[in-house]
Amino acid sequence: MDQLRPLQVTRVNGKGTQKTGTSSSLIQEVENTRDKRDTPKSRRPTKPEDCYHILRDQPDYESLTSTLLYLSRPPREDPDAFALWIPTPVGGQIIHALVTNTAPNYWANMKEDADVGQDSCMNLFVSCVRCVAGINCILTRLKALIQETRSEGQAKGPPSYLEVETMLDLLGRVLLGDSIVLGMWRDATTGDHDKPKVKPLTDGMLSLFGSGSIISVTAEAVGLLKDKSPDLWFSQIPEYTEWLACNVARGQLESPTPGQIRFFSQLFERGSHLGDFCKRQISQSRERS
Amino acid sequence: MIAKMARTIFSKLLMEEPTDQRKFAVLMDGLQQKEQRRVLFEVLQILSTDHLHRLGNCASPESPAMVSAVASAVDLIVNGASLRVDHLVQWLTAPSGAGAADGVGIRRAVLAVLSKDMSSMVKVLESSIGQFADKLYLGFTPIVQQEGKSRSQPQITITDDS
Repeated sequence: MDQLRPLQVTRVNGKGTQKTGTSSSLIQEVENTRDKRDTPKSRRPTKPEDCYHILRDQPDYESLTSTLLYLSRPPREDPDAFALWIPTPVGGQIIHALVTNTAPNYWANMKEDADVGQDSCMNLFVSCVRCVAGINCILTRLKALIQETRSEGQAKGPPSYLEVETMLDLLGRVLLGDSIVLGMWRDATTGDHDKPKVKPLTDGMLSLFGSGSIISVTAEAVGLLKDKSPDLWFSQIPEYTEWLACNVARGQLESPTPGQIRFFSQLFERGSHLGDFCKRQISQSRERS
Repeated sequence: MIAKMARTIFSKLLMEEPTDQRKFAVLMDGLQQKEQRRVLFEVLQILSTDHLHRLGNCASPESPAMVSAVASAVDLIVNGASLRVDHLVQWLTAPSGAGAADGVGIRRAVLAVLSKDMSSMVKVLESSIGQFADKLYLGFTPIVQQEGKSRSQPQITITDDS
């Protein structure tokens, strides 16, 4: 009892007997942790490094939203400002954290209030991941998950199946629409058209959308889900090609610049070879087996 | 998947957008020569199967309007590019080309497009004539039949120099 006395004096509000002192010291503990949690919530991210730390530290929902808000609205007038679609070490870390940590942990919550409006957590999240690095990260994660389930068999089934579903759902939301490629192209080229950074970005988009890697990886993932496999358009060649064609047409319709025309022509060219490539793959794999 | 790709982009850029229908041609300018050829032939195929297959023979009453509509669509795609004009000439005159398999309607439309250009019309005419007579016989009659005929009628000699 004597040991509790200093606690009562120094940290607790100091009223009541020694017994209430113990209980109030417990309350004090809880209040303390709340205060600690309040600090990152009130401290909104001001630079990209903050975002990474917040995302890594299992943030609560509000600080997640404010972080996503910060990430998805970079100042466009400043070409040197931080943006997720420009490949940087920090950007890569943030995207990795978003896809591998945030998405599986908060997906259920985000899905619940996805219909709130433009600034719903889901919309912000999807717009953050909507870039070459983001989509590539999703695909890499899917590949890893596929490998995992293949190697471990049924031992660790349900959780990773859930994550596969989450990744597929996320990818579907990222890709949904006619102007996705156009938007990404604008992101990549806005501000600095002649900087050498732009070329690798547009090349990355070409190989991402034109190589059929989205189809092959997601088709494998859908096959993994077996009985409850959803009918996903981007895992099937005809639907995916249709989507790509709509995106090319949209990019061509909206007052294109010469660079934009060239980009979409190349995408058209790549897209028109999609089926050939897959057919070749299938026939090769049949020959082997 | 070129059929799907070409069909979707064609309908989006030419059929649904009346303000500037030359955007398909602009998009095609960016393609490689080989790809342009593939896409062009694919579009001709689409036009033939989607819009001209009901014509039947060329004497039906609605055929002139239909053919001229298709011709103007092809003209918008070609957009004066000499490369694509050459492809059209090839398409019309290749002995086993895509043009031979399709109906007469699409051939009429393509000819209408080419009719603006004298030299390509001459080319079409020349190679069309070249395909007939002995060349056609040699190219399309089975070898066995040809040999049999030459044996049974030894007085006729088939020459390839006509």
